[in-house]
Amino acid sequence: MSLWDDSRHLEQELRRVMARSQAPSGLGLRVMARIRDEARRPAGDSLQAASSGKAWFRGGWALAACACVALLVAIFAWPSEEEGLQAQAADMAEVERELVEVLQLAGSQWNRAQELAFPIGQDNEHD
Amino acid sequence: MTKTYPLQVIVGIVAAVLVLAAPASLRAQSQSDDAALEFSDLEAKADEVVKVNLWGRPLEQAKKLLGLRKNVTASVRSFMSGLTAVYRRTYRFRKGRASEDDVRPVHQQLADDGWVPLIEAADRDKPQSLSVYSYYDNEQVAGMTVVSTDSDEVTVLKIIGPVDFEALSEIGSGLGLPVMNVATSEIRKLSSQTAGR
Repeated sequence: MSLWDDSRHLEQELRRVMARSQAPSGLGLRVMARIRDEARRPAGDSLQAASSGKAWFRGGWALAACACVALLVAIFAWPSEEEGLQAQAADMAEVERELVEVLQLAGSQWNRAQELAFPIGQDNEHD
Repeated sequence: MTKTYPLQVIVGIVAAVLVLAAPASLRAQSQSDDAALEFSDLEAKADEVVKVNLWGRPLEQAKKLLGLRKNVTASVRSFMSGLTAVYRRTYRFRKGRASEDDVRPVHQQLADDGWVPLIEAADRDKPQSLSVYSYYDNEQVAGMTVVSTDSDEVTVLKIIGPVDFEALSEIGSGLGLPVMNVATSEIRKLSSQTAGR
């Protein structure tokens, strides 16, 4: 049985159902028109249309899946609490070291400047 | 089929936004204003540049951490607590050295900003000079800047906050702060220069 015969058979069945039921006749006509269109369309075209719809469906899920994977990777690749604390402690130690270094340098330079400006030997000479 | 598609897109967009937004917010937090001391001529000429900008939360954390350590004297602790910013610029030259013209903008900028020269010392025989500037706010010393020029190095140190010179002298003598093996070549060099006098 061909696709065309199938659609004819389905259309007849649908007409009987629609005639018995209280469903709006417009809906039945639209469904029958769609069945006729699909049956008359060349096989390749029909498959392409169907696969095109599926492609959207698959594309949507693929996008969602990729985003979820990216989110999971971001969550698990993020430093753990312990790693974060260690990094923070290392940063703080580095900042502390820099502060000490600058203060020691400034102190050394201050002492040197005093010695240059007010040499001890000169004081002794005055004494 | 048509109902699930927008849901998938929304899930994807929300997840992508979450992934992209987190690093962006971290980047925004890490931005800092380090434009306090910029000497482009010296920087262009130097082979090595050391920049330290400490202010705000990192400085507060460092002060807190340092305050918890042993061997920090009360005077140094008090001096440190008043500090609001600490900057360092060191320009090192492997070949040649910085000329007076290169260093002049540093002194000019300090003078323009209201810094008063406290001590200026220069060696006629050697390419060495040392200048100490202070900044006054309501007749109180509210900051200190040291500009030192050596044969192969120019260093600018700026300390903002009330300066206790006695505490600073204590620190310069290797006292008042814990030994942290900071051991910079500059400090060793300064110590040897001072000892050799």
